[in-house]
Amino acid sequence: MKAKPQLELIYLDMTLKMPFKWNTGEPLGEFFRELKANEKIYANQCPTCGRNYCPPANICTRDHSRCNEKDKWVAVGPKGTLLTFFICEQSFLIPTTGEMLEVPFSVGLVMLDGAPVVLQHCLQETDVEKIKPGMRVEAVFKPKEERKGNIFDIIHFKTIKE
Amino acid sequence: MANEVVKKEPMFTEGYVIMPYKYSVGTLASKFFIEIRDHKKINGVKCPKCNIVIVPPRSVCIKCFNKIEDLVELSGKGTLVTYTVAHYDSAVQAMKPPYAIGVIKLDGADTAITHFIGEVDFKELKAGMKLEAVFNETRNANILDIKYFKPVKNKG
Amino acid sequence: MTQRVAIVGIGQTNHSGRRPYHNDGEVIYDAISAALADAQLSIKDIDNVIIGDMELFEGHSLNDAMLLDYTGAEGRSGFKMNTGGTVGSMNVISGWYNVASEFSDTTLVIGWEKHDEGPTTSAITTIWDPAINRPFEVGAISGLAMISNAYMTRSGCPLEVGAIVRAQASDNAARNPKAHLRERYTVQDVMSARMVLYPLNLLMICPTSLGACALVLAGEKKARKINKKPVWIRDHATAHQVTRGMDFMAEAGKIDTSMTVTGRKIFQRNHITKPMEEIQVFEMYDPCAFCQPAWLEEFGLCEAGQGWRLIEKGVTAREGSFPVSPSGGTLCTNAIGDTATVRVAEAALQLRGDAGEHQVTREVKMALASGYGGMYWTDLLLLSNTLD
Ligand SMILES: [Zn+2]
Ligand SMILES: [Zn+2]
Repeated sequence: MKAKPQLELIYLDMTLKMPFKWNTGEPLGEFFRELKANEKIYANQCPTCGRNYCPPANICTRDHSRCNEKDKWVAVGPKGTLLTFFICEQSFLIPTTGEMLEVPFSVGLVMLDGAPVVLQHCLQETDVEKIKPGMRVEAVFKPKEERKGNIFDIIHFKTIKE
Repeated sequence: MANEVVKKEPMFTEGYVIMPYKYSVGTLASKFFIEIRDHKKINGVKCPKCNIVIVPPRSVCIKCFNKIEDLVELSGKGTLVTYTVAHYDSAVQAMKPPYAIGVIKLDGADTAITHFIGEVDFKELKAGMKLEAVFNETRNANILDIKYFKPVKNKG
Repeated sequence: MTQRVAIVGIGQTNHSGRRPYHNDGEVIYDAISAALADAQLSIKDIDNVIIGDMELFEGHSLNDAMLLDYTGAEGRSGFKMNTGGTVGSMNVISGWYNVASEFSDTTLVIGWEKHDEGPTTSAITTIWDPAINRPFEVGAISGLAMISNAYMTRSGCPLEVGAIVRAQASDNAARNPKAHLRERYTVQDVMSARMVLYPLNLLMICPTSLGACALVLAGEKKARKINKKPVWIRDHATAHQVTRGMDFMAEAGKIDTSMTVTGRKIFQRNHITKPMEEIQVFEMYDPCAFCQPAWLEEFGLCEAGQGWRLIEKGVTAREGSFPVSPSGGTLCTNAIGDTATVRVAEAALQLRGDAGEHQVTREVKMALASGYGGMYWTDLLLLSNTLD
């Protein structure tokens, strides 16, 4: 390799900052209203093929059937079984807030009782020795006055003994 | 059923996309920006094969796809090709409106550069008018080291 | 109105973590120049240009437009691909459509990325649904960590297998001058690396690289004139997978994944019944250390639960009976927009016998190359060095 001549190199530092306000649409809006008002987690099922969705789906991804009949929704959880998880040990810039992630940060896929669905959310436990796929967990909700109708109305899933 | 749901409070998820970047301008463009910062000189680059002069610099010839490695000095004066005047504001603009933006063909260059036009009555803007670069006092090796281009005043 | 399509020019930059002396366009230009030189063509012989990279990685939109002079696309047809991780293979597949349809005779395909310039993990995180799962994802790796963890639970695959995969990849990359991470690691070294996203440690995930890869595709008649060793794109398949908060994992191991679908299509359409014999090498887009074991199974190359056992036996090593990613793969080099293009390029080099020190020991007549990304999506390409 030839040695490069000394040259000052110019970089441009830029920060991209763009706000968004995303309409959840229905039935996701109704799912969040139920979280906020009643601490209820809902799932629904495709009337054609029987696939289950949590949050409830509008359209079945398999066969494109409509499946948003609210009277057929079923409440699932708040307890469930851990399917799989990760524990993040390295921080990164959270693009939606511009802040660095607090680590360790653990997230699981929880099979909620009541229907064969998973919900992805934070786990309270971050010690790898204390997390095992198959263990029982339960959703912890924020107090009613702090709930805003978004996914963080659930704080996390805590480990439970049964 | 669908209608009943829609009448309820609409739900939103709000947030930002906030991300920092560090863009390398490359070796040739570094030389270009350093010349502006240190010597208030706007350079072009010249294709060794077809002799076209490009500004702002590109290290590949836009005509013959040949590699370009050298700068050529230009006078910093040029001709207005076309222009517009911005009358509205948004979060991303570098200047408060109203202000004029022009496409300027520098003397000796085959391509044109876009920049602000200052010290000008918007009514006097005219394609073909002669312009010259005005530089900022503090310069940081970027394109805004050129404050704007202003009309060349005929002497006397 | 269709013609067969061959790869007649291959160009790749060296990959690295930083390359401050060059801007993005200059990196791309290096790969294009190498591909044109390999095909002994000039830009004038190209009639169509397809470019692909990742959105928001470098902080500018429509960078195909900004980089037009470097890509040589002025006055030519073409477009930008944007399918996430599969972009590098999707641009090859798009090139195939353009040439196969006789819309174009010579298409230049470019994949590139300059990872050092932006916050990669933050940018990838914006692909997730903001209402449901964006807060719970950490770039691309969190989903892979979940899949790996579930695969280990389901199949009994021990953590050490991930370390075997990475150690093997490091030996391959050490032989490949274009690779980014070229240090040799033992299984022990990998096992003791710093944890990043359990169960994946720093050596079990792909790096952030920068580089570019370009291919020249040509129609059948032209191809034979241009290159004595054309590599034919025999077939390709793409499958998407819906992922609302990884909900498909509720049925993991029971439902078809995007790998299963593409593997089945390719093998059925080409009457391949014993893929590990009839195909001699697989350049797999393997972004984490458990992709090889899990996906050998999902692509239908072996039975469920057997993937990790084959790796333990050394089957996937460069000298093994079914080498996987002999270039060092995505685990050692990952300039995302070019990663899947590099898979195709490396598979083609193996077919030409031009892979140099990382050429596999087995004779290669047919090869697979895959792309992976977006949201658990897969592209699979079948390449060969003859049309028999
Ligand atoms: Zn259905
Ligand atoms: Zn030229």
